[in-house]
Amino acid sequence: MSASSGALRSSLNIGARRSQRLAQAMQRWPVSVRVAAGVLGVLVVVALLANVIVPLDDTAVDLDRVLDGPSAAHLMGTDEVGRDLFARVLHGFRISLTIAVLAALAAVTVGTLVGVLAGTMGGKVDALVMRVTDVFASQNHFLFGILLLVLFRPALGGAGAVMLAVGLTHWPSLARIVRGELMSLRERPFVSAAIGGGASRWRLARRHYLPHLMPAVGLAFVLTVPHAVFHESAYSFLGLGLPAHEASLGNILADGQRSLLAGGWWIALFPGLAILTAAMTIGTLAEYWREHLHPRWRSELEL
Amino acid sequence: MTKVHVASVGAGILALALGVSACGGSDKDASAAANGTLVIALPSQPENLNPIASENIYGGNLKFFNGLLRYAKDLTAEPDLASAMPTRSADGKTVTVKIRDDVTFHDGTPLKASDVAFTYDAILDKDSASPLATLLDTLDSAKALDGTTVQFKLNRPDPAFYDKLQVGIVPAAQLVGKDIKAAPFNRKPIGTGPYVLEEFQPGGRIVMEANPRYFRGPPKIKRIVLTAVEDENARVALLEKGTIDGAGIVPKLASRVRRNGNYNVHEVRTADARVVALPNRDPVLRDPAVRRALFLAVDREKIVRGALAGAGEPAYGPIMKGHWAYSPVAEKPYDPDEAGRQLDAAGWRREGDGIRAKGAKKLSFTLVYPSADSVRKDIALAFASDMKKIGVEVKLEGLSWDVIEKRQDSGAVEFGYGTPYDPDIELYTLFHSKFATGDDDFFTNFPKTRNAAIDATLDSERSTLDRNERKRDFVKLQEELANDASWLWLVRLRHIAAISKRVKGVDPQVEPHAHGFSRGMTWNLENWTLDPKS
Amino acid sequence: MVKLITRRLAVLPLILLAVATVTFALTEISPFDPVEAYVGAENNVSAERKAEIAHAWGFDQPVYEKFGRWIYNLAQGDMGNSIVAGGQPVAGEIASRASASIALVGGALALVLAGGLVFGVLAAAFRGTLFDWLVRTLCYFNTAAPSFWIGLLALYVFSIELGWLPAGGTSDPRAVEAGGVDLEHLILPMVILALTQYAWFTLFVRNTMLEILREDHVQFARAQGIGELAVLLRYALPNALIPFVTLIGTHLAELIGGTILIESIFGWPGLGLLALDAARSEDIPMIVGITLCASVLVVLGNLLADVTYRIIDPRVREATT
Repeated sequence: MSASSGALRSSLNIGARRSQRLAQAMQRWPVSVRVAAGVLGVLVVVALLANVIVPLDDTAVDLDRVLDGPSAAHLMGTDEVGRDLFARVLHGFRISLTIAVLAALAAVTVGTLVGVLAGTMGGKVDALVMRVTDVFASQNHFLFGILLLVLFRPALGGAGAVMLAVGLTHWPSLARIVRGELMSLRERPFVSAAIGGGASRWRLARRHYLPHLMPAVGLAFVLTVPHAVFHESAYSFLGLGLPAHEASLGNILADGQRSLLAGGWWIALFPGLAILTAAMTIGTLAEYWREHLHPRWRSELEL
Repeated sequence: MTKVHVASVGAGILALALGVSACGGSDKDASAAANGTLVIALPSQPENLNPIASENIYGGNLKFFNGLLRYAKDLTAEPDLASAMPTRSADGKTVTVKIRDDVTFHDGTPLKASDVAFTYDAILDKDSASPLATLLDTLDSAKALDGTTVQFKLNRPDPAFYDKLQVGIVPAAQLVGKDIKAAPFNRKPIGTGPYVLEEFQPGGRIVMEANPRYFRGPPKIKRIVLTAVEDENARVALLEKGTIDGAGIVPKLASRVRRNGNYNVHEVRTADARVVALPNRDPVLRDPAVRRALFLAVDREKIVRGALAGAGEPAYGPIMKGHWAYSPVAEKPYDPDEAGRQLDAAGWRREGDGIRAKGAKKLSFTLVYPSADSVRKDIALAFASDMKKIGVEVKLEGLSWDVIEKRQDSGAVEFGYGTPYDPDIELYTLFHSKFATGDDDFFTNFPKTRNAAIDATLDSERSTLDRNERKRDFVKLQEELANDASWLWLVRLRHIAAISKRVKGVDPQVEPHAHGFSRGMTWNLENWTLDPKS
Repeated sequence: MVKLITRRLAVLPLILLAVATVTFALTEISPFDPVEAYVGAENNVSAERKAEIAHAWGFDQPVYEKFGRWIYNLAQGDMGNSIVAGGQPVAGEIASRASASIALVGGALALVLAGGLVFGVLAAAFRGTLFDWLVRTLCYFNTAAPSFWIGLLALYVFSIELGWLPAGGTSDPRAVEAGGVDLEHLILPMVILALTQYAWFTLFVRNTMLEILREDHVQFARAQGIGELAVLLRYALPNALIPFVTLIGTHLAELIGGTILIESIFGWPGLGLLALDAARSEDIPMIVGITLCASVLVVLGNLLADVTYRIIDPRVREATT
């Protein structure tokens, strides 16, 4: 009992110390970054808890309430089959953001693996891997992504194919950074000493490479998320992404396009604002982080 | 053929960069050409203009071609290139057609019986990969007996064969020995039809000029431009601006276009139904009592009102109301309470979560719709919400057709079917147990119904050429289908088109599910005239 | 210079081969069925018939044979036949659709350059003022707002509600001579496409100008009392032009990708709309064909950037030759 409460207390202490440090760091943040963090935080919490706070059913069809404008009963109005748009946008935000995060994770994983492969093997493998990277880098993300969607949507489903399309197109810039970092790390005295001392590759990777790579990888991840949000919504908007009845921001926008002339401007407006807000807040935070971490990555991380 | 004014664009960009405002200079040419020109916006451009290579089996004709027969306004077959109605041999397996001797193709060569034989042979030829081959499964061979006589040999008597003699006839000289599936002809068609292709701008517009040599006399409207405008809102914006004379419009914008005053808004009935096919292998849906209960629980009127903006009618069976073979036997009013009682009686009781169950089994199934079709998505959503009201859970999935076809697991699918022509063409393959065997035959008997009574009526229907006997069979068939209830018919769509008031002679024909430009709204395009006053 | 161009052009086929191999490999490992794509939606086609179609198109050949044939045909400029082009060769369809896209991308590029230079230079000249803040904020907003959403709203406001600009197509469908591109029709899609690249370019111009302003010779000129804008135009701008050219070359790919969304919203019958139609009809030869063409353009764009770079900046020329 006492042991566990001690552990609890010490973990609480660590937690408190961490949040204290975070609070101190936050005081140094510029206003724009603080606003972005606040807005994003609120949005994510609301989207995650949408069903807990207010029981909003985004699938409840009401054919007697088709294309109703914003009102007290329906904050953002209803769509073309009478579903509550506020609920749809909240769910859409959650779905789109989840897919984007997973897609960015896929891209970062591929980029890191390729970069590590090239950077640690060196020589001919490096040359070959980097030429392949060049080929992928010279492709337009969106067009190549569409090819991947058409080929793999049957097997992976809409969400899986979007993740694959983003994952297989957004990795080359990170692969180059990771490779470059590794190359420069090998020149550093403490690493060459470790290599001279006969350290295993695994040990090298764990003790020296990974800790130095983590910030770049983490930043690349955050920077990729807004791109992935854009790609998901654009693909779904074009009818190449998620199934049309699912609440993704792109699908709702496509519904909005069809309802524009019938008077349903709100269906096109609100999901667009949601994408805009997500991209702006995440972008602001990532930009700030990048400035602090490594100003030189500005051009390399041009995604 | 396609000239792009890159120079003028470049100059325009320069003007723009210099801050000079420039305006399109096209207005003058536009009004000059407007007299005698009709501009129609289509949602998408036809990809293939060759009637035998086109995916669209009903009327890839696009007014460039004629068939041996054609449909009159009331959908009875009448001679087109044929000089009289065909004759059948006593055993029904030989059909002989005499063709007109006064018809020439657009290039001036006369139409011969050998062109007709070539057209049908090409469809049967495996190498041309013609989508029409399945439709012509009763045809063994086509032979030109002389310059104006064609003889078709069938492998069985086919009461619906006249419906299959409407394929556009192509000139053999243009295509003989060519790879038809990739022939340049598919984009440069030469036919006998009332209009001649003047220009094909891929993705942009198709220009047709009146055929001065047309055997029924040249059409009144000299020039027709078909322009591809995918966005339904943009089509209406173009109508309101007066840029185009006609377009198909979505129902919810019909009232807006009516208010405009310059257009007649035509609403056409179609045979095109939306139907939920309930697979018989599904552990829940295999019970006909359950299927019959679901049939009662769909508020079809409300789907028409809400999801189709009024442009439709309830559907209860595969044959449309007003068709010679129609029977009202399956017409039952919306009655969710009765549906609930029937489900109770079948042992499906509501549980705590509102969904019915029988023992450990929940009354729940998946409904798949083609994801690209937003109207079908809306209908699927409305259907699922009606089902929820009687305690049936419907989980929606939106997929592309090739994925849907490869799914081997159970689940219902929302199809679109319907022909206003001979019911045999569609119904035999949809309901006969012969087509319940392989998994490959996806669009034929999807529920895998094996019902001896249904089979018997279908076999009987196609064994005779007598319409009264066949009608009796079809009435019986509709009764059996209502009992079996593997197909849950929902609604039939109506198509709406806005056409300028200066156009006279529009007299729409009932449309099938997959229709083309030579059917439905524009079937008699060659008889339209432009009012010179406006 | 000649050496550079020949070397780069010599690599081009290798890059194309690599792209072709990657796309072929992806097509083969995916479960995609070309017969279903050919047959199209909801057509009642029997299993034997499908086998015949597969055979007629050569879908049923072994992988190595398909790959060999694909590369062999590609070397001769034959990218296969397209579903959305009614069975016609991919290459011909791309060629006939390219002009509409060239007009759109060319116009957008001109707008990006003009707008970016003007607003970037002005923002640098009036740095720290409300104008500068406005330019930067709008750029920021522009980066975050999805282009297709802006396009959708612009179409709604300017074409549908106000009726100022046409709602689609490249020219008036009534025009006697077809296929031209009217400026009136070009404006909306061109501006929206330009907006996809405008933001980063403007900010880049602004920041580059500010950096150059800090250099000694510029400081000296300012010390002599020459006005701020004059300094920028006379001293800073010529030096800043070099990186712009390079960047335009490398961003060509994004501009091309942007046409897919923009052309779809504005019904602009160029390559972007063709790519989308192909994707919706699962017309793989056409999508691959457009991908290959885009690769060629990107390589050529980069080459053009390098060449111009060398012409503008003689130091680079001396260093490499």
